[in-house]
Amino acid sequence: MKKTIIILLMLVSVLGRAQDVKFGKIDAQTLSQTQHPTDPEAAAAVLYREYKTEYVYSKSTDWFILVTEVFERIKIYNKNGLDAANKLVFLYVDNKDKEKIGSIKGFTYNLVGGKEEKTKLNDENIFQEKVSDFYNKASITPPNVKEGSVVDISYKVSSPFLWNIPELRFQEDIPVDKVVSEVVVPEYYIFKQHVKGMYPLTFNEKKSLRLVQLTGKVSGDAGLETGVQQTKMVSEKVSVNETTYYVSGENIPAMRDESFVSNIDNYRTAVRYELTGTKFFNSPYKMLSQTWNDVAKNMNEYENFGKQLSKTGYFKSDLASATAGIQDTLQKAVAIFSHVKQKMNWNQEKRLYTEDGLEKAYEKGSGNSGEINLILTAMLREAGLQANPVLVSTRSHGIPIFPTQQGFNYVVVNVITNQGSFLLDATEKFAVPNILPERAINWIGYMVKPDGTSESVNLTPKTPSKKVVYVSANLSSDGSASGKVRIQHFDQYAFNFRENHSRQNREQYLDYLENKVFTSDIVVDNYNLQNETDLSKPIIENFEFSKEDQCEIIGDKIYVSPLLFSSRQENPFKLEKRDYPIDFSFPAESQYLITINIPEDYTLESVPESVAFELPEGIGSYQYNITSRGNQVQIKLTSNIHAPLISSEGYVMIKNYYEQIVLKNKEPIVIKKI
Amino acid sequence: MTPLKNTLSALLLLLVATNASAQKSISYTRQNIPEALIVNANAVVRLSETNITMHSYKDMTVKSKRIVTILNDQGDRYQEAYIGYDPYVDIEFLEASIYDKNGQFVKKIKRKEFRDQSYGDGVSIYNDDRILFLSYTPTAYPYTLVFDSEYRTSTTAFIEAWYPLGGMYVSTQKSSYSINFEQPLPHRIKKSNLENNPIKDLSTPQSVQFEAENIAAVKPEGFAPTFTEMAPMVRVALNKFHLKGVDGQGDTWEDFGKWMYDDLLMASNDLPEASKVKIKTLVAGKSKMEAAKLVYEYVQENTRYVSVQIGVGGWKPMKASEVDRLGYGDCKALTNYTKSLMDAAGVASYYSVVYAGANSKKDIDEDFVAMQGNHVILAIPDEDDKMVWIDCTSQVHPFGFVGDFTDDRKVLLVKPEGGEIVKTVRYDPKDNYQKTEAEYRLNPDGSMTGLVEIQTRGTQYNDRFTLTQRTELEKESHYKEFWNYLNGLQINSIALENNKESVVFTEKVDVGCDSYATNVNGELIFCPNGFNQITSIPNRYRDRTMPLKLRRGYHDEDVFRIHLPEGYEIGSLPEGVSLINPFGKYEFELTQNPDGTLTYRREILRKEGVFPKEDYEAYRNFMKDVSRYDAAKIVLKKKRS
Repeated sequence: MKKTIIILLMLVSVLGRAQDVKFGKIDAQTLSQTQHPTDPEAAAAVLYREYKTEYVYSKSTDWFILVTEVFERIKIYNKNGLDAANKLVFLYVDNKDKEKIGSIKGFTYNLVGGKEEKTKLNDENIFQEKVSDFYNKASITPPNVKEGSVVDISYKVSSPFLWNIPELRFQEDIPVDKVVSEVVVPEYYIFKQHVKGMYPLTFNEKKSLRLVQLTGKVSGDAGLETGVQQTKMVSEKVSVNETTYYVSGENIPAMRDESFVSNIDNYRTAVRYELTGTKFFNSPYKMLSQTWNDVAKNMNEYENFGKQLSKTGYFKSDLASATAGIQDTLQKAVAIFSHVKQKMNWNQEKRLYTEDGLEKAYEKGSGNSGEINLILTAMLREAGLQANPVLVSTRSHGIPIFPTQQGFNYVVVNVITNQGSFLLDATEKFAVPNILPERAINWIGYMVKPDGTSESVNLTPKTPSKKVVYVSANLSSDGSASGKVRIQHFDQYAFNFRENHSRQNREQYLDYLENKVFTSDIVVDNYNLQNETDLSKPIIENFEFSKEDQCEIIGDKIYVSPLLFSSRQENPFKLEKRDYPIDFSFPAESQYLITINIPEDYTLESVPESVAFELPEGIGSYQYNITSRGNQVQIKLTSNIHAPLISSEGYVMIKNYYEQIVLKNKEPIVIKKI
Repeated sequence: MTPLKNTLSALLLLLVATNASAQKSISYTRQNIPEALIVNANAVVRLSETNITMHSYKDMTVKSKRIVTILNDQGDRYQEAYIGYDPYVDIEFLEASIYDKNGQFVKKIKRKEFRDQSYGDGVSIYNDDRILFLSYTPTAYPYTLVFDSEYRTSTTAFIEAWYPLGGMYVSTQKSSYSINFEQPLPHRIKKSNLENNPIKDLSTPQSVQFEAENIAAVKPEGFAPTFTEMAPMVRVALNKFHLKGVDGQGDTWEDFGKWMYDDLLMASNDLPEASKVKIKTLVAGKSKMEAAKLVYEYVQENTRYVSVQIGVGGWKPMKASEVDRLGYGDCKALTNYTKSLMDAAGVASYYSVVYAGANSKKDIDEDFVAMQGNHVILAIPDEDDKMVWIDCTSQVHPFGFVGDFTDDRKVLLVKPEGGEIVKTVRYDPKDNYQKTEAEYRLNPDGSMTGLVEIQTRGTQYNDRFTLTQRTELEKESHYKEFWNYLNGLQINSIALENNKESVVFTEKVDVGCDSYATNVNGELIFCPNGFNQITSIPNRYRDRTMPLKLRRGYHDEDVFRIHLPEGYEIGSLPEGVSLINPFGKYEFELTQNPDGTLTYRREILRKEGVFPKEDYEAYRNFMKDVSRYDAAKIVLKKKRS
């Protein structure tokens, strides 16, 4: 019995092999396929992808280079999928070091009159260009691609960036049938594998020994002492222990972007390799980042990060005048924060490291996110406060999946005062303590402390940002309404308002308010804005409004939407299902306090019922209270979302919740002519 | 530090300081900007000088100076310190300096601090155009940027035009433009929208010279002509010119077209014999237009759009033989290839240069013979010599239908005997037609189920027919956005039919809605127009400054049959209406049928045209009325038993 099983297993594996995809050879069935077996709507699919990454010893450089071979087979099902055949490869450049692409080969297969027609990819189908100082681009455009085509492309990327094994992608915006990968790492480099995404992958590992012929020059260390360089040629065979990592995945569905997703890439099924240590000939094992503490320790030691923090000369006098006479630590922190915001101007670059050092940036008065917030850290520390840089990955950069400095691209500051700890980001002029620009509100940041330890910091605000709208309206019997509005924007809302509108001229803003905020035909008059520059207070907008068709007149009755023009009238979640979590960025609460006076010769016939409903686990709630007295109706509405990140399982619940809200918001008050 | 070093560094400091003050200040301050130029402006161009020297028909030097005061961060994009270049351009000089609001020197930016980047046009896989640009982070507003540049190029086919006004929200204090001819070179000058602007023409027979002073900033308005349609502009072109290594000529469209045909197209018309035979077999026995249609479909089946722009290739199509072999190309390549196939099929066709874009119907300027356009389509004269237009970059458009991408505008037709300006097909408002027929049933609980059938033609067809290629999820999303005023809408099924022969698209959608009607005190209130409401109203402008431009008309007809819920009767019906005005017409009516159902009929015709700015409010009121009538409600009462 056992034997049969073994034989069966062997057979299966042999069969498995036999079905292996070979570059340049294709079976008739694949070619004649007209739609994807599990996703019939797919415009194209990755039928197969193979990564092979290894360290190849290069005689010319005396050391390894990292070579990644990629082979993929794409099937085009319909015209929308034609672009999937074009392959773009981005190649990184760092001064003289650059990644290079080579051995580009390819075939396009078509079924012509029932027969396979094979077209070879040529040099004329390959274009390379310098995109910027940081990367080059190779574009491969296979010939003769049409509906039904299958395209094979293979290429090699050689990279001098030995610590940077390319990410293995198992998921695309088209279905992926099969991906196999092999990463061979010599004993000198120690990597850790990290997986993300929600589809299962298969992992295997193998140790082996390889003989490598090392040839080249070896410098004697006498050189340093005597000024005479001693070099000699060596040529020896060295046996190297290698680890091979195998990862494979099958039948991974297409990713489709959705609204309220911070960065779809966070959910992509992929594998990344983190360099955790090195162990070179005759050197001890050197640990790189492995824990967040290690990251912090390394960051502290970097010349263009931690080391910069100890230089204080360039800002000493500014610091003294900014903090003169202030004892209270919170006030001190605020004063320094204001100084840095005022002095430094963000060049829109999201960076971790300084480019030419903090002093230069300070002198210029402009810099990247790292420079500005490291200056802030240094000044806070110099003033005797406990302040630490916090490593952040912005929303567009995704969520870091393992402890590594490469996972981050942005810096904010954590400062401890007598009133507790605050997060600061001085890149924006209108920032206030604990209010970060939305780009930086992304999950968790990691503090880099002077002692080389790290601590995680939740970047999502704990308290909801508030918006309060007061409306006092008088209705006329012709269906029009007029009155006063007062809107208070707090916290994140105040920050966003200032960022977006306070530099706009007033008229431009009013056009925006009338046409984009209210969308219905409202005329705004006597507009007045308070606390535009006083960041400690909420933004307050006051204005008068009039609106012609506020109410619906039917017969002798008038139907009035109690929330007038100011509330949600459309469900943002319309689709029946969803794959990825809903991300509202920050917790929020809005309140509407509305008073409606109905015309003298009318009487109130009915008002909607007061209701309250809520989402489970305190995720959110909605309260609608309505009262009337004489010719006056008062509405108080409070709506909030306390948990800004909601899993996709909660989608239907959220959708229904908003549907209820929209329905409720639309229920009319009915008044009748006396 | 040793004392010596100290002295040295003190000396050095001194030197640096002297050097800095040597930069001195400039007289351009925030203070001395005339008030009128601040209105609506985020930036003020203080001085713009463009001096072009024509050394020969294939050698020109362009020297520019630009001084701009940026008032706020929205004005940063008017820094405009850049030079575009390609292998035929030598950048001779490039430098920028920053001054503060009082005109005090802040810093100098040298050429090496400019960024060098490929100039992506957004569609190309490869493009050899590059750009050197400055991205300066200001430390305070306002500030002034002085940018000096000079380049020399052999490409004279595009001579920098003069735009005395640089865009929206930017004003101009002084701008000048000159072209000096070192030898007489016959040329043409085209002036647009100079009237009503403070502009002086100081040209002499030997030189072109213009000056402008104090042009106020403009702000954008909806339903208005585009900026380029209104902006003052001077363009100059040489009768004989040079384009990326190729000589060109033409002072009439006829000559210019002849040059294009002979020098840019002829050599690319090299379809291999085998393919010719293939096409001949394909069209054997077919009439001319049938053959043309077969050829177009053949191209749609066998090629794809890939844009690669290198050298003169940016203007000259890739060879037909190459497209035949590779199965891809850009608009020029695919059009030229299709033309070659048409030739093989015995069908005459003409390569046609056009400005493509759905948002503005931009003409090839008939009065200005020069390189123009951004796209190429193909014209095929039918039996009556009427042009049938096809866009060879589309894999999906029906034969003879180009939609709103290239409709109703002047294009350059390149015939073997020369060029000719003709107009592409115009879709009359009546042709851009949508008919929506629905039958729906309202239930006592306020829910609704129904069947909607939408037929579209013309540009409305163009807006819809690609729905067939979308996924179910995308289709669901489309209808939920299309009918976004229906809360809780469910899409039960969708059937689409694209009739490419008659260019009619049919959508049949089975819908449901849990809360279509609102129950108020036992009465049901609902809007009879469930499936074609206009909910947006054109923006209100406190002070409208631009003419009203309605770009493309349309015509919708709707018939909805409504089954009322059991046990209810009509409480109140909105009264029908009929509006007619210069912008079009709108009407709706509700009728009660003998079987107890209601019929809602609606028609809207929106014309196209340009109207004086005073008419904007009237148009806005029209659309306001339409949206109000579209939202009119019916009240149903419970029947008294």
